[in-house]
Amino acid sequence: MPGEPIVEVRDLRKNYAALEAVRGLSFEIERGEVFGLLGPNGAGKTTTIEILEGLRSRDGGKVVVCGFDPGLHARQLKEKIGIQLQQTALPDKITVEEALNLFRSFYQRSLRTEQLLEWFGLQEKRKTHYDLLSGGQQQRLALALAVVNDPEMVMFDEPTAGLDPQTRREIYSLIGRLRDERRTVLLTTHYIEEAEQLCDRVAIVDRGKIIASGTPRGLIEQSRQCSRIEFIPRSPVDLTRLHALDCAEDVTPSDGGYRIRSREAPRTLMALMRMLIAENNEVIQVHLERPSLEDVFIELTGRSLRD
Amino acid sequence: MKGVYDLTIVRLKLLVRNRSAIFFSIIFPILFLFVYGFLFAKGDSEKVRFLMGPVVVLTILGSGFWGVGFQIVFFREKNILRRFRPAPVGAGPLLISGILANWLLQIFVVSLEFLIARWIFHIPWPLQPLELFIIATLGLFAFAGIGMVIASIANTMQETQVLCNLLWFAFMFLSGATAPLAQLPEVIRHIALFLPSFYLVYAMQAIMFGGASLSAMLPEMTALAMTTVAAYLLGLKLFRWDQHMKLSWSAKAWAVPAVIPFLALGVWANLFSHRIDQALVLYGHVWPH
Repeated sequence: MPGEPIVEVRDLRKNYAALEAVRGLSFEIERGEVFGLLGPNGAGKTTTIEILEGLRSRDGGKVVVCGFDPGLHARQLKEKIGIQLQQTALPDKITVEEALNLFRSFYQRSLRTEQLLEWFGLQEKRKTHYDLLSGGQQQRLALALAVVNDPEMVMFDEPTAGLDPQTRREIYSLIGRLRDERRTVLLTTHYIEEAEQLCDRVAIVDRGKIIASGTPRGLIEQSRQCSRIEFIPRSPVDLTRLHALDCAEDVTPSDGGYRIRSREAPRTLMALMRMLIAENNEVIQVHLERPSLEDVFIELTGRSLRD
Repeated sequence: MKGVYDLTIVRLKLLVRNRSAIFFSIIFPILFLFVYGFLFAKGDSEKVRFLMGPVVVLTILGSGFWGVGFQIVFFREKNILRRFRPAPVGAGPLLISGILANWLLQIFVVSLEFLIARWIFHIPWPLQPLELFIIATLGLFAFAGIGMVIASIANTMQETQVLCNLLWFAFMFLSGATAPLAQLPEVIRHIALFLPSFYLVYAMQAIMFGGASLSAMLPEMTALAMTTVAAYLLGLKLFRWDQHMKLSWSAKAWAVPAVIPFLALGVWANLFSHRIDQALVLYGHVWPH
């Protein structure tokens, strides 16, 4: 039913001996939504997603995925969802086609092999052994195996961790296609751009707790973080005049130019242009940088995501 | 069951494509056949026929340890089992398919050994091929089971290597599979009665030479079957998908049930059976004093 959450998590808890890995996590995911759990390593993202996948038990809380409690009906749930775990491999001498056919045989319902080969651009590699595939092709095959059962929902744990930028972009495009098909996607990541580019909504997780959630844009707008305008003029500019610009918070000289922090970057930029024209000055270079989720994370935790 | 079928076929293909598996599963046992045939039997067909027991046991033993057990650990260390974890296929089909793929390959290898022995050393065709097939099958399953037990309790490849080699040497050298029982000290003969490899060698030779029926081999067959079942259940109980899931020392005690069938058989054979004498009689037929 539209509007009905496909994932419901209430007060989820998981301990490893004395360590509280997940401390009362609650969130919902709507059907067709791409939802991201964003946080640094050790934040509890993998534990959370593995509990949702039915691969790990929980110590407390309520979890419903596709109408099933993963702790009780893991097998039925696996028929409905696609999963890609971190750091998996296949035997060296299995071909792409054999791997797809093998995984298809595990499910009651599956997509055709041809369809999967075409979708993930692996037609020409169908007879190639796994050890002869490039890193990107291996990752594409891993994604194909994750959706082999035509899942309602796909869960990715750090889908691009350790990949080169080009392969990462390929994976973004494939996940984007899942979104276009209105499949629900849950992914964990510690890459800001991944969350910003792919996710409809994100939950920022730190030390086993959600510290903020919403759309990436919403989170950025709610934050007190400023945009940064960096520019290099032809002639020097009076710093006090820059301070007086509309919505300018802070001005510092930077690499032969100036950096202005602004709460309303478009207004500050317009005012800056008007001022430079009035002074018969010119802009050689200008760069506008909006606050990112990283800034939001730092604001909320005082630490960087990669710390 | 379809998952088991597909997994078995894929694993068989993987075995055949792996050069090192081909060497150790096919070429190595056949080399042993030639070594036994030319060196120990001096090409004498009767003696080669007698030595087919040890050759087949060596084939079965190696495949169970390295073809099944070691492969599970290799798959675990290489994160291959992790890939299967999210699929609705449990540990059972993964273990069973390993046993079946190994069985299919090794039944072919054992048949090939008999064909080569017939062709090169002119041994007579076995009169009871069905009985031999059943014993070889039970042996393959049981030793694959023992390989699984090793894989279940070993945490790393190195640990697996050590355990496989220790057991392999004990099973080969203390059981009459290499040096005949007649040439081993009395105490070793009694120890041999606790080793599955002794019974497998004895069963093969008793069937080929003495025309023994399967009913006469009932204790051996029961022990081999019970070892298979115990090892499979243990393999399921201790199955680990991930190299980071380490087994504690106390959990390794779960391996004990897999030892019980042959422990019981060894006690029974030492107290009530004449298996040593029977094995020596078979030996005496071929190598008279």
